[in-house]
Amino acid sequence: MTKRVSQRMRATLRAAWRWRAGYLYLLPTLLVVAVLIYLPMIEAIALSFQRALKFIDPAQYRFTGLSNYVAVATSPEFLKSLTLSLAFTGTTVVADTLLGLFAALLLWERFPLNNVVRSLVLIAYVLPANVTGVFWRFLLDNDIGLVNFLLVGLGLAEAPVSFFSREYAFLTIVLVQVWKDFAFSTIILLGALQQVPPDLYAMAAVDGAGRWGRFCYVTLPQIRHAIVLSLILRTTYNLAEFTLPWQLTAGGPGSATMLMPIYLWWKAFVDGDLGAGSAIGVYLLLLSALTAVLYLRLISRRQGGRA
Amino acid sequence: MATPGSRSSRKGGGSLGRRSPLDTALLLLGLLVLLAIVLGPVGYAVLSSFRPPSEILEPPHLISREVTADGYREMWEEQGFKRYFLNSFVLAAGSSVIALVFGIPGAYTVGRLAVPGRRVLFYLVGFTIMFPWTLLMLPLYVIFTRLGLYDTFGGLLIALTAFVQPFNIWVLTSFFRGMPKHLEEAAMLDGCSRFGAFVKVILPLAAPGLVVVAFFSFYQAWNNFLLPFMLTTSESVRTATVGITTLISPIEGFYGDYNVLLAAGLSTAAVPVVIYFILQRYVLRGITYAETGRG
Repeated sequence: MTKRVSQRMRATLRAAWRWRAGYLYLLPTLLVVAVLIYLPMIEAIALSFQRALKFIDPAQYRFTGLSNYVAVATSPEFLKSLTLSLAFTGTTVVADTLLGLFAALLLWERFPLNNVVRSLVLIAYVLPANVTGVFWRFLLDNDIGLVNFLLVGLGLAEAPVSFFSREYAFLTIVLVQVWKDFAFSTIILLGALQQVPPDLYAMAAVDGAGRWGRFCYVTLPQIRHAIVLSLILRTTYNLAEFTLPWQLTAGGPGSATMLMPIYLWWKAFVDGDLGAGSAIGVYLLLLSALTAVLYLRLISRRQGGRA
Repeated sequence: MATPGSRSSRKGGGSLGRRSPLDTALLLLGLLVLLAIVLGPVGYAVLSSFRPPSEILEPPHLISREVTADGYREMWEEQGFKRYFLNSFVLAAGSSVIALVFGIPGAYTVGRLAVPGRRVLFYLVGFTIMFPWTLLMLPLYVIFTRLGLYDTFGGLLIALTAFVQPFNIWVLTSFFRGMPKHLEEAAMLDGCSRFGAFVKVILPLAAPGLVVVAFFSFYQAWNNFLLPFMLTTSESVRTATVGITTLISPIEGFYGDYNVLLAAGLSTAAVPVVIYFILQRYVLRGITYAETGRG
């Protein structure tokens, strides 16, 4: 056993020596990733353990152990932002995937100009996030906004809805975020739909499956993996989303839409407490990592079941 | 119909099979609703951007009484967007070229050479794609302030390069991996060195793909708001996305003319939309590559 291991190690080393020039190629890429991404990440973690204020000289930052973590975790504002973030992520992710699936099923059908329609449906996803925010500030305006005009005109609302009020602001950021991102899920799900073998539908038809039966017993199981993928990816992205909600409400009114990334920004750049901001960031990172682990476990369990 | 963005025509397509007239009507209705939801808002913004400010403040209507490009003229000449666009362009082009230069060697090695340990790089990069950038803006701010890079063009260029680099490496790797095997061996039989084979055979064959990757990076850097917002304050290094926020701040509100704001937003958004239409067949594939790590 040990002999085999040492043999394998020697073979690896020999291969490594044979490919020594290859490591030279790896170097610039590794260097840039290490310096530009991993180094700041380490710095962020280091900052979270320090008393670091924006307006003092970095030389005076002091190590303070877990005090940032404790102070953040026990503050009611943080707990509120955590709750809001989870609610925001949960609703946007489910809505993205449902609307994404709806669009994917439509675009999967054959009809003239399918390619053109496909391209147009995906446009929202490529717009810059803060420009999207600006458009919707305009469209959702109380007095001159198109949406309120339509709502009142069609009799769906008696008076214009104050989309940016304490009452509706959260709903507003959810809706706009979904408007922007659902096409992302459409792309993933459409890709999966096109891999479904057409024969399955012929077989289902022979078995007398109706439309709903075909959807439940053929389509859904076949694209299950893609649905999970869409849910997970959107979860990691939407947890960390800053730009679009910030441009819409900047966390307000009051703290009605103070998602964790926006709270991080307030804490670090408005209040100037970089240490506390970093601690919030690390909590955010842990949340994302948790999602990623759940995802990996889901996949490995399925593979285990198949084997 | 074709798979997303490719020419291959699949037989199946859809689960409805042969559609009844009712199915077709429902499909049409669904598509119309979808298009209205996506294009309606954008279309209304375009329409309004060509109206004078006074007309925008009236209740919404479809037909403009007056059509004017004043908003565009003002944002370009008086609000400084000429400069912001130039900045955005140079930064996006610069960071995508730098990311390509630093990404190609590693991606080539991981994708095509049996170097032991190459997967480590792949996973290191893969992890950063899922990374919440909101966390990174803070240490970058601290580091940049310390190094005197805060509020400089060079600093922002470095930050945007870091931002586009992971995606860039990821796509390049799948791309190099997908090229036919034995290309280098054939060239080396003809007397090329491995490096010679890379330069003379692989790179020219990869050129179209590299252009596509560069365009992706350009689009991501152009659209980015977080980094220039966090790392700059001066007008001389301001990008187009941040320029828009100077017109309408979610905190301080909006005092200017809506036509200027909409014109600035639409002009900034036009760049990624144009890139998207040029590259749409690759956009779809690129997103699946990058997000699922397939290929």
